[in-house]
Amino acid sequence: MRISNIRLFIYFMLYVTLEILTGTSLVAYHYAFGFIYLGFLILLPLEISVVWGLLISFVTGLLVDVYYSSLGMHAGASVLMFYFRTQWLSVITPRGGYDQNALPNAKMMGSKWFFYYAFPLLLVHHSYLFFVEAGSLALFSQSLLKVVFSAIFTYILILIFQYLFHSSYRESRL
Amino acid sequence: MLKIFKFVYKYRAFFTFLVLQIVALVFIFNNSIIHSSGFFNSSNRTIASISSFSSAMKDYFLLGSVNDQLAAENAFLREKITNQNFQSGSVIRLDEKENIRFNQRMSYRTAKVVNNSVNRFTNFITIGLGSKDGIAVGMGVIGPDGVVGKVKAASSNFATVTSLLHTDMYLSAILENSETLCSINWPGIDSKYGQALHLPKHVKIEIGEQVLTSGFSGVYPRGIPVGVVEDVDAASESNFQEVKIRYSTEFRSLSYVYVIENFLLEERNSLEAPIN
Repeated sequence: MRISNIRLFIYFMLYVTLEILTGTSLVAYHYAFGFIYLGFLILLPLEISVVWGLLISFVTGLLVDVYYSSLGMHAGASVLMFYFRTQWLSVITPRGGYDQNALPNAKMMGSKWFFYYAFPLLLVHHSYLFFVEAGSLALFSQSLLKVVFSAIFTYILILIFQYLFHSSYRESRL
Repeated sequence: MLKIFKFVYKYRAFFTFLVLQIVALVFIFNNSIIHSSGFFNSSNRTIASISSFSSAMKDYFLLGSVNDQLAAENAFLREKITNQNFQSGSVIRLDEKENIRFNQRMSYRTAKVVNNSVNRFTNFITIGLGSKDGIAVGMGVIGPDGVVGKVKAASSNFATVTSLLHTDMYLSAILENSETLCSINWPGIDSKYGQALHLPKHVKIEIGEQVLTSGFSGVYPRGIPVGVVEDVDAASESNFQEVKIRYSTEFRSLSYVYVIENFLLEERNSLEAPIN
């Protein structure tokens, strides 16, 4: 338990630093934005308690907000995303339930399950983020395009980074 | 009472969600928190030092183009000084510093861009000068090619600048030929193009005409380039023409900017305040 907490903290530092180092350059064609820090929130262990998960999401979002000078937006979006995650996980439970100590990543759960799991979460997060940022429905179509393209872009990034960072799962499989 | 606690505990996940969400919304809709301190925005010291590390790495690859830009600007300024000396009839020598200081109305400070965004609806730039270097909220910021933005918040070593690429930013400007006053705003997608608002239909606008700062706000001097007229649509149903402009500043590759301090702004504001 203790070791997994330390590992969680290391991932937290890693993802947030990476977001701050690369954040503003991860943009493709004005519409697709990559938010790497979401990888950390999406790959949080399944057994983490909801209250802790919400607090972790809030703090992570707030740090990213400070970097983007957009106080509250990422925090609110991340909290909403985590709350949605708890509901969504019970909807997409595989037959026989989740294994103990299972981690929601493509390697353990299969890439198809991971897509069903992660992509709607990203859509929820980006919808909150871009519609609140636009401040009204005046930029509706632009915001909607941003939401969809950014979700695809972020999904690809998260997929790449989980194979880079989370390579060994031997401990958690035991 | 116990029942209430039991109820709250049973639905603690939902209540935590609710509380955190409300805090986030208060942050979002209460802009004064960002404005008032250098802690909750990108001029935050820790965040800004990580950003400056990352921009230092990028700078290395931009050195060539920055050199060219500075050389071109130097040449332009030399030319301007020569012209001015001809106009005023006497040559200003460098030892006449006292004289220059007496006549000086604005000062320019060079600042390095530490962090920059161009792709959101509300874009900000972080610069490597702060209140310790005399940067104050409300000062104008220009780049080598034209207007960049306005200082929004300052910590001791860094400052956050609202970029022209911010949908709530309106800049007072004039057209070069007719000197008609208009307002420049960013519609929100492409960092290259903005729009000029409030230009009546009888005003003749040429494509390729320069748009310059009006200097009325006192934040920027008069005549700093903002952009060039790219497209004019007079056929719209409103009373005004729809004018698309191409910004002079290349916001994507901004590495150095100048922060303008207007020494006479306070005097002017105190004069105008009773009228307003």
